[in-house]
Amino acid sequence: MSAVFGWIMFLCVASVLLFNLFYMYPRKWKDRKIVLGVKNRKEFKEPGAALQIEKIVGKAHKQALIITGVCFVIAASLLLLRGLIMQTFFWMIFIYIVIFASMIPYMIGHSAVMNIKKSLGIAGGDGTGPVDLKLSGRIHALKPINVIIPNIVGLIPVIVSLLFDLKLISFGESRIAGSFISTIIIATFWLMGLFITLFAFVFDNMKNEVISSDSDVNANYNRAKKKNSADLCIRFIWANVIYTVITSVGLFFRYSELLMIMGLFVYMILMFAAVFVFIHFNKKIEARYIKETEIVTDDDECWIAGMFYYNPKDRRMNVEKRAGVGSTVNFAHPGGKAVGIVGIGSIVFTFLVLVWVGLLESTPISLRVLDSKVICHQLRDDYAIRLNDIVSAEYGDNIMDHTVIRIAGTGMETLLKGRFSVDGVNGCRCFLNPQTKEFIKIVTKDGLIYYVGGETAEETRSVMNAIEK
Amino acid sequence: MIIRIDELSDVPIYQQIRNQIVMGISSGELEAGDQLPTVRALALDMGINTMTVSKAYQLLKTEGYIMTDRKNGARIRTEIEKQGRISSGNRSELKRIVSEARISGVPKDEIINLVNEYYGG
Repeated sequence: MSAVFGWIMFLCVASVLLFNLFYMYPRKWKDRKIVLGVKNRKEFKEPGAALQIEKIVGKAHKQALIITGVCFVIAASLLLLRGLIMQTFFWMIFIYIVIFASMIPYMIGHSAVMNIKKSLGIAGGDGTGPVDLKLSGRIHALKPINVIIPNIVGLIPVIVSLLFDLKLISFGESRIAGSFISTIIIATFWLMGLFITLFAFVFDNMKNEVISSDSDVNANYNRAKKKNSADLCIRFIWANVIYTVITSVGLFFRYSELLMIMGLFVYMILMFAAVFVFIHFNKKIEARYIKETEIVTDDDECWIAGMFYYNPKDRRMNVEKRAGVGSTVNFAHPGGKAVGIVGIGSIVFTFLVLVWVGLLESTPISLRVLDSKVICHQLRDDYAIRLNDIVSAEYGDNIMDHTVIRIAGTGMETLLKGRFSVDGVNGCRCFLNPQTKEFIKIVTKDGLIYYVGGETAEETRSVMNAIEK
Repeated sequence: MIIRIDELSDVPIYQQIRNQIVMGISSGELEAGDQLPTVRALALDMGINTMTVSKAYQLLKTEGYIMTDRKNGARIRTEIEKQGRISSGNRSELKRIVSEARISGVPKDEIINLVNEYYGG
């Protein structure tokens, strides 16, 4: 499974790198609205400036090409890693490095283009531009019904899954019914669809851009852009629905982690395809309207490194991205600040989780009897079972002969800890290293079932002997 | 109909909005019955306070250029009252502009041409 995971990560990184290379570092910059984070303008296309910008764009493309090549080599070498936790750790760090490294030529190029802009005597604006009175708050391309229908369709598998987990309906012999695993997975994807729906409305209500003194041109341009964004969101939501339907069928009839990862793989391909269609149409819209652009609202100074928008004079929280696809936040807006804090917090949290998981993987588990209790210890005492409370204890030879599905807790190649479904019985407490196959099944007076084991078979056996005594 | 706000101008923002809408009506860019954006939408697009836009709309309504109602929002009036005379405020403003032009050596014909252009016909 770790090999499949590696390939999925490789394809994700490869797609991001190729997207960055061809979308953010275009060779033909004259048809683009934004050149390395700076608004394209007619002054840039005059012979002297055009030559300089041509050089900057070419240099940035070359640098991006080298970085992409190096990242591809590193990504390919990461495929050789074994062990899911080790892979996750290195891939996560690598993804952050890729995101940062692929932006370096962009930031350097941005600074150079800004210098050319200054040398041309173009004064930096504060981002406050003209407003088309006939457009303000009126241009929308999203028909609510187009996002409501897929969300309703997506709700059906959630309800079916809930009924399945409540055991009100059944699909033959299923080992996960009642574990709520299927409901959690399907509902998570359905909620993601709702989240995308929210974004669809945010995109549809974004500020209309004034590019011409002709209101019809402005209206058509903004409508085309909003339609493209709305279509992207609708495709995303439908991809989510398709995934939930296929996954639910898979979960109800046959639970397989490999099957789920493969499903996720197909889902990601659908998502990337949707993004590429969006980019294709976005480029077409830009190329079509660049000829009709006669008004350029200068907010270049508000884009830090051409990527991060900070404009206290703009009261909107969301603005169209300059680097990449979609929207970004105005960091001068209170909501934008909150998003920034959450973003940094989530990066820190990811690393903390990885460190914690690394600790869990590297710390051996310990099973012993102390003070008339069976103590399951790893970093802390996870379970302490009184010997007096034990109703029965059975010694098992191989945990791999049983179907163990995680409900809540840690499920790794070297550790199963938390609440699991074992052979269709939900709510079992596990504390095992599956590599050490021996285990003890303990049932307590209060009806709880424990599957515990030590780091070695000897450790497990000695605890079993102590319980029997 | 494009409107621009000059933040460095001495003219208050609500007055600038009012002036540009009046000019839009005069030039025909805004026609009788045309819907104006909501206060909130315009304020958000311009990056200004809703109170400023509201004040501009209030002024336009008082002067009889627009009409507002809860159902349809703000619209350009179909029947704008024709007083047939220049208000004293505008008269003194025009006097100032002509005086400044005269001092700057702008020929009289050029001013008349401009008036013809803005007035139309």
